[in-house]
Amino acid sequence: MNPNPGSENPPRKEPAQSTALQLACGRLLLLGVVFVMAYGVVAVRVIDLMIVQSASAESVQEAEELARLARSGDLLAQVRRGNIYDRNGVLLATSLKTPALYADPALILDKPAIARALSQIFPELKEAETLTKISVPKSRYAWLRPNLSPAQQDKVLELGEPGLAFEYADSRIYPQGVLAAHLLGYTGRDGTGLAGIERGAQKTLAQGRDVTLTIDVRLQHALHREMKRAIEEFSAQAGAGMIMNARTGEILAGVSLPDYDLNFTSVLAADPEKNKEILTNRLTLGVYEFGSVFKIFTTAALLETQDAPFSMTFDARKPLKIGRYTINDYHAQKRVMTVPEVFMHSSNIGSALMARSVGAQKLQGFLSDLGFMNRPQFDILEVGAPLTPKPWGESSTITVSYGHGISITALQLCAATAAMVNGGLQVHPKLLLPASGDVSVIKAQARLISEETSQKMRALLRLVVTQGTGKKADVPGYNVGGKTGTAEKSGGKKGYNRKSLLSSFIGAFPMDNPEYVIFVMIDEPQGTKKSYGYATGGWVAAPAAARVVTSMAAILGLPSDQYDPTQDISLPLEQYVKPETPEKKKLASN
Amino acid sequence: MKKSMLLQASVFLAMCVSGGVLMHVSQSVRRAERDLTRLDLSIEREKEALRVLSAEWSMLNSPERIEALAKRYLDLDLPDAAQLVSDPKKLEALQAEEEGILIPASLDSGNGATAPVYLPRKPQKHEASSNTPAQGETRE
Repeated sequence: MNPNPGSENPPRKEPAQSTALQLACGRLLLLGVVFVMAYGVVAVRVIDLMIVQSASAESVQEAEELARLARSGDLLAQVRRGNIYDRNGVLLATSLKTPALYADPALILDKPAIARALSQIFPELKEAETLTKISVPKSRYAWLRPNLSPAQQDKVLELGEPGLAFEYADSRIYPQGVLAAHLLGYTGRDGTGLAGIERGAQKTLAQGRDVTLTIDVRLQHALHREMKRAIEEFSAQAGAGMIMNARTGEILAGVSLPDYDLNFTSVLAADPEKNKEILTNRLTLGVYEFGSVFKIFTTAALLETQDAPFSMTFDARKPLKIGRYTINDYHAQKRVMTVPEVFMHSSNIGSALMARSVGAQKLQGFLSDLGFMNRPQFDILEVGAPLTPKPWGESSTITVSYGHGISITALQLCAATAAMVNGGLQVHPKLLLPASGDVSVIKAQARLISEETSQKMRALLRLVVTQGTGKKADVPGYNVGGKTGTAEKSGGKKGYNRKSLLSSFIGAFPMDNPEYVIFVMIDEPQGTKKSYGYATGGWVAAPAAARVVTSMAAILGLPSDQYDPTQDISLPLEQYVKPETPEKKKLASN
Repeated sequence: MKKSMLLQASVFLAMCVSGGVLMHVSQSVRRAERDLTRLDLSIEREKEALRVLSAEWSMLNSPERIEALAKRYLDLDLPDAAQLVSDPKKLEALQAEEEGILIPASLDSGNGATAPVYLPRKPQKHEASSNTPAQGETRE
């Protein structure tokens, strides 16, 4: 400390001795102080370690986890793929860390027993295959199964096999299973969207932002249930259905059958060719000749471009011969018919004559305005391009008038029908719900037909349900209107197969100001005893649509007493419709 | 002499105290860092648990499952369209006709209910509609 302790107290006698002693004393003191300080530091550190820090350190496990976290420093920074929600905030898709099972073959002693035990826990793991996987000599890694559920993981842990281990990775979970399978789509193992909205909104989702869809799971389920029921009842091959908001084009529900559980897509997606039937989105990708439902547009074209009155007549007494084609009526009336009659009896001859009076060019222009000539823009990328007649000859005009020779997607059909009934404004189908107040995504709605024509179309569509081919789509109190369609699918001798049908119904309700467009299509239905062998749109698709409307009413809380039958919009059309039987005439006069 | 001893002692004491304070500060910083990491970790854990729980919630609430459970345990079925009315008075009228019909509590508030009301299903209709769809299957 003080290098010369004696300097402040200068000794007079025996200076040398006293200086040496004082120096030694000072050095000893210094040494002592250094030691005391060193021990002091150690003591403080010991107190710190044993008392201060031990109070906060909870366990060894915690420390280990902290160390692990510190090692994978990017764990917190890693971007998780965004979630997908329905319009009410129900979770449709999320990413979770799930355990994947792998084996270290070198550590497994009783390999056959483990293979057997695993095949019992996971029915899809074949015992023999697993055994080969874990019996590879010198191998230290055998990947067994991704996405274990907590219960499955527990069972594996109960085996107590040190050679079985888990690695954790993000995987996509779809809590609603098969619901809206084709609309949601799926991701690959690397987490990139491969189909549906997973692919369509890949950029947003990859940035970790959530996506909200326009669909409502409750309506989706109702539609799915009724579609499935109709397909089973009529032993059909496939089907498609949609509920769309008639004004905004928001898709509230969309079903394509057969479908698949989104949580098990890896097997299906591995072989897309073989599983094409299941993976094809029949709403947006599949293009179909829809048949009679197309008469909606032929009739609208007539009313809009020719300003035709309902009283205009068409001679449907004899089959129409155009070139090598002969056009017949399915529900043949064999008489001269007015516009409402042609529409409600779904007369092919009448529609062909309508198209003729519109003219090829105007009809083409009209259909092009409806968006039937181009591939539609949509939030999902799997969208089919329509097949239109090329070149467009006279016979094309005729066949297109009743929905043959032109193939479009269900999406286009629904959007165009919505425009016919919503007052005439074009709708752009939407699957991504725009954030409230976000006007950037709202596209201009062009006027396709006048409000007056739209009003007429509503009355005609209602007439089909009250008196025409779509009677089975009626739900008392809900003012349903629509058009049935039964198309023969291409194939067979004359280019069309009489036995394989595409039966559909497209409608809207409530008809005095439609809010919802409903579409049901059943592919290759077989007539049943209950339908007297018929497999037409009126027998197959219309009842399913009615059941969907009934369910929708309950789900959305739409009361049944808001409709007044005496004010029905189809009543003014009855003057143009010849009553079929004396009995019906009597009813009409009442 | 005494003065210098006092000075030395106070310098020594000050060093000890400052050393102690320094150590305390460094220890509390380390502790705070550990706490921070631990909190980050537990937040991450909670978030993950929330994700799992919300997925589970969505799965357990899937309409398909709820419908199956309601059918199985509550003997509930899909309502007929005609059961849904907007006028609560219809229910009151029905109650006057038949005994044993309860008016839902929500109607008593009398706030000009805009929400639709479910009328009870008529017993004989229940038999018919449980097997066949609601409307006109027997027509034609």
